Amino acid sequence: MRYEPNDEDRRRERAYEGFGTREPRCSAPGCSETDWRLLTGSEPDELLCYEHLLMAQGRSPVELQHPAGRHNDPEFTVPFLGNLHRLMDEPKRDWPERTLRNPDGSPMLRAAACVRGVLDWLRLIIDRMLSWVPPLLEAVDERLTELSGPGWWRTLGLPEAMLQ
Amino acid sequence: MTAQPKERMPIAVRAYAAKAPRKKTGGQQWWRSGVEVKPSNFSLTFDTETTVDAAQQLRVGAYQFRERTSLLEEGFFYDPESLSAAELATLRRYATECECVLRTRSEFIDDVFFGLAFQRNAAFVGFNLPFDISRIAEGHDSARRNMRGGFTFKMSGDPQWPRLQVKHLSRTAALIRFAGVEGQRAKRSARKKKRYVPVRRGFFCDVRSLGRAVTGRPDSLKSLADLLETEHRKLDGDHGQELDDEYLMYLRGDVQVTWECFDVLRERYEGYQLRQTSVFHILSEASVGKACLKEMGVRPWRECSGQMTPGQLGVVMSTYYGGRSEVHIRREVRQVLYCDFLSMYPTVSALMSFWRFTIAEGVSRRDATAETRTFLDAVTLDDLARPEAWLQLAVLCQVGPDEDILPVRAAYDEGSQGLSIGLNHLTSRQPLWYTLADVVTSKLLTGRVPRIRRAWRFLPGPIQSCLQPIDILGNPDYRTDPAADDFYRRNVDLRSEVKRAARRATDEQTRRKLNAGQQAMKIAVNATCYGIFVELNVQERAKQAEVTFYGSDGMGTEVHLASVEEEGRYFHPLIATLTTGGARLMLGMAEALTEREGISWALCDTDSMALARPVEMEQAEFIARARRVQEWFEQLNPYERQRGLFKLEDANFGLDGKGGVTDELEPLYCLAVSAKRYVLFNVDADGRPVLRKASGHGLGHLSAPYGPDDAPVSILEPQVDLRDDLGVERWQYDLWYRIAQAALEGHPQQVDFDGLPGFEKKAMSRYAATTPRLARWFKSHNDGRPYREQVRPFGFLNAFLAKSRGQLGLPADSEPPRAVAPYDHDPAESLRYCFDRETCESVDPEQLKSYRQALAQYHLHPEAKFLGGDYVDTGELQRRHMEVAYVEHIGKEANRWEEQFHLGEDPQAQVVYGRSGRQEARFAREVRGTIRRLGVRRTARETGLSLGLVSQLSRGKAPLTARTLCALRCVGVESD
Repeated sequence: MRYEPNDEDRRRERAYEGFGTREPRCSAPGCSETDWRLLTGSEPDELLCYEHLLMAQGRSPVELQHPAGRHNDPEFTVPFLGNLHRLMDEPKRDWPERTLRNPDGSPMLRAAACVRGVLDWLRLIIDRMLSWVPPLLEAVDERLTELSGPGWWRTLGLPEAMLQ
Repeated sequence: MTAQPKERMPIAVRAYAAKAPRKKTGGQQWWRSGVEVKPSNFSLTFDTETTVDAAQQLRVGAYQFRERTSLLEEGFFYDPESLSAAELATLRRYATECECVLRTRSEFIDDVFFGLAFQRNAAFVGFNLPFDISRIAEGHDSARRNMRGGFTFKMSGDPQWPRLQVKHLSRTAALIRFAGVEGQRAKRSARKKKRYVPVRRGFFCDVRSLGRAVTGRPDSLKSLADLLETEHRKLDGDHGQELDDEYLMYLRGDVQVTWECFDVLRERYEGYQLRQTSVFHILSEASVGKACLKEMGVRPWRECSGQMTPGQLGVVMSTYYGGRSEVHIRREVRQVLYCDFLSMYPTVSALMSFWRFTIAEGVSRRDATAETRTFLDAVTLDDLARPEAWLQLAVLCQVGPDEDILPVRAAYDEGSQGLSIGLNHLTSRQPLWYTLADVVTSKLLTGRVPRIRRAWRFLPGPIQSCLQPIDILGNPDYRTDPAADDFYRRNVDLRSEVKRAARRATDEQTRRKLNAGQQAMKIAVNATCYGIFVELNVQERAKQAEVTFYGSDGMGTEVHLASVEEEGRYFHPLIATLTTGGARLMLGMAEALTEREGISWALCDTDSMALARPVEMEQAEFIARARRVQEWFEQLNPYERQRGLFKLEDANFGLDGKGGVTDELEPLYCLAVSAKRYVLFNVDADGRPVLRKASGHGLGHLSAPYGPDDAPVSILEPQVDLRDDLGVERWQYDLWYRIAQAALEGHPQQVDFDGLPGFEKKAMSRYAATTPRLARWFKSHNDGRPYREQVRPFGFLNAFLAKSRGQLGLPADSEPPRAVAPYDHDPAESLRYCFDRETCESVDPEQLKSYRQALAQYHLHPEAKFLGGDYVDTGELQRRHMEVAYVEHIGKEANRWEEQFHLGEDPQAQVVYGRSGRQEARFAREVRGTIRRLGVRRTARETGLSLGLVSQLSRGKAPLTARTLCALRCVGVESD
């Protein structure tokens, strides 16, 4: 079998090396951001997430994102907080270079960029909003089975409609 | 004890060399210290198969790329020029059938080695990685800077990928890392923001090194897999044969077994709970020791306050000698009781409370001359049976030796430049420093108190503040608090508890886990109590640099050397020297006790001694007296749960016929030739020797002339396990059997080698080109050959022993051939390709020694350290009486010993600092006075030195080399 590498692995490793830790965390008080894509800095104890970096530089934490890319549709922008802007733009690194830059202004490539932009949004939303749920449900089920035994839902008196 | 007539001879002591302070560049610090990112969850495991000619070039390799334990890609890579069309077709078919990816070597390097693994910070795993790396490289050169003495390998023609640097450390360990890439590592924007981008050094795990460190045994992949009980085991296969499915399955299996061993070893290491040290930094047992100290928060002594001055360190280093290893009754069969001290170095450390020094915030020193003299005057053998007496021994003494018995390091054998240490009578006009334990030993053995000129007592500073308790093996029941417990004592006690629990365990998994745990404890204790405290690594430099060394007089002398010693992290020479001094005192006490009991001893070796029955004494009487010696030591036992400090080895007991021993003592006999060269055996009803323990010393470098299956039937089969109990290979067992048999039959000088199957073959040693210096041997062989056909670093070769110049009838100006050949298990096969490494011409096998010729005098090997140790001498050896001609200062002993072994003794391999400045000035004054008295012309005539040189000497303008001093002896200049 041939492994098809994901370039994100390479970028992640490079980032960890730059941070000097495999467990990076924003050092700003009250911020718990740990996503490597959002952090900057080169000392493990002095990392900042993008939003806090913007604030530290006296800039606004809100930025304008180009969903289809600056070259494909320079006018359509959506305001996002800095960290989210970075997350939205991260998948663009994996876009084909011609689609992202569209040097000749091809309408086909512009259309491709729009579709890719929407897909990236949906993936991010699905990933951010739903990906944490299945492991949580599984962990809770395991714990409840430990506490109340198999068939725990029968002893909890849950409404019948929920058990269908 | 009466001393023999004096022999005037130079002696050598260790010195401390301070590094010149690093010049400040004035620039901003651009590195980030103390931070390292762990490897990712990816790993690349690979192995290679090579041709069996001198070049050992790559034929085919196999690899696995994994994320954690899941296999992402498995494949083969090959060198297109090494495989025939048929072999390539076989390989293609096999790879397709097994769903493996097939790549050429360069595709593997660019797409997998760098493209997948390097880019993802994967761990690189292999068994004997330096060899495999060398096989897949495109070129090599000598490494520079920190890796000087190692190699740098060009892996790819693509300049974006870095080179690989490999530096050989020992037979089982090497430092491996990526070099920096060419050009800027960081983008311009990152550089402007001063954002740090580190050099990616990579994470390499040689399973052989890790296996040795974690299991404590040097193992092949096969035996390691057996020991670790991995799911798959190494298959048997012949190297160099034509590629077929079986061979490829064997190769693929090797990669799988290597991965499984790595996985088990990593898991086992994680069980040690040493979280602050990555498994990729574990190169030896000493690494485990250092990791233990780090985990407990023990700060290295050199980072604490309360430091010694370099001069004081020079004094401390001058007192350092290794373990005592001697033979006392030579080449005479004597009944013995073979005893060894329980964990000798940890025991001495526990008795002398060295753990307190280890965790102290520095040490302080005070003058203790008067109290030491009083102590020495009063101390008796029985006083030393009280543990409190041992707490008084953290003292170094400046002694005026006058026939005292002290450790002496000298070139005892006139034919050899090699230094060895013997406990001899010593007289010196120049005062010398020794540990108090050595001085007490002298008093016990001579009955006289050595003359003490000065004494320093060392006291530990306050306990370090950041120490952390650790749960050994992650078990809270085995908690050790470094601030409250003596780590060594606690660990030895815990280990005996774990061993007992393992014996009681009913299920196999628990037993295995507990046994692995007790082995880990053993490694941790031994590795933390001694070696790391005297760790000095010799760094070679491109050109000579100024080094200031401090010797036994505490004065600094500047010399220019091309190599410099660098201290290990936990360097603390005071603990090291006091530990080995204490161990020598233990043996000295045992020797004094044997004398008091009216018995003798045949040999001693670091922590063991064979007590010998005098010829006229009854056996029962001997046993009773030897038992009294043993029991005497029990008063000193520092452990709560471990009995038997000077305990009987298993070799003393009868065999139960099932591989174990009974509780009954069986008469044991010893035949000792020289230090570390001995055999212990019982005698059966037919008068045949039943070997119980034998030494491989002086044999280990030779490849086995025959395998266990070819052993002669006339020799009694080994009755105990060859590796674990006897400690030798089968052919070595047979050799010792014949030596013991000859001694029992009354003709000890004529050993019968007839019937030993391979002894007519040419004697062969296995060799690997592990340093650039060794690889240069093959320069003329390599000239004009394409790289893939050249002899490359870490390649295996066989070296043969040539007959001497006299035996070959060569003229005085020509040298016997230096014969090497491609590696092969079978000497006859290897011999077909034998060539002289200097001239590249083939060597006539008639010019080489056979095993029989090479080992003809093995059983007569002289013991130069003592009198009465010549080839045919037998019986009790006498101590020599050394008079110090002058003191030479040296660095680490046994530096590059492997290289020296293959190249022959190399005086340059030993770091020699020379004489101290004060001595040098005294010689210079004496030389100038003599030349003035005799005149320049007469001095030149009588010494054979040139007029110019003598003239320069008279003005103090020429250096006093050893050769000059030797020549000046005939005009009465005495170099003392």
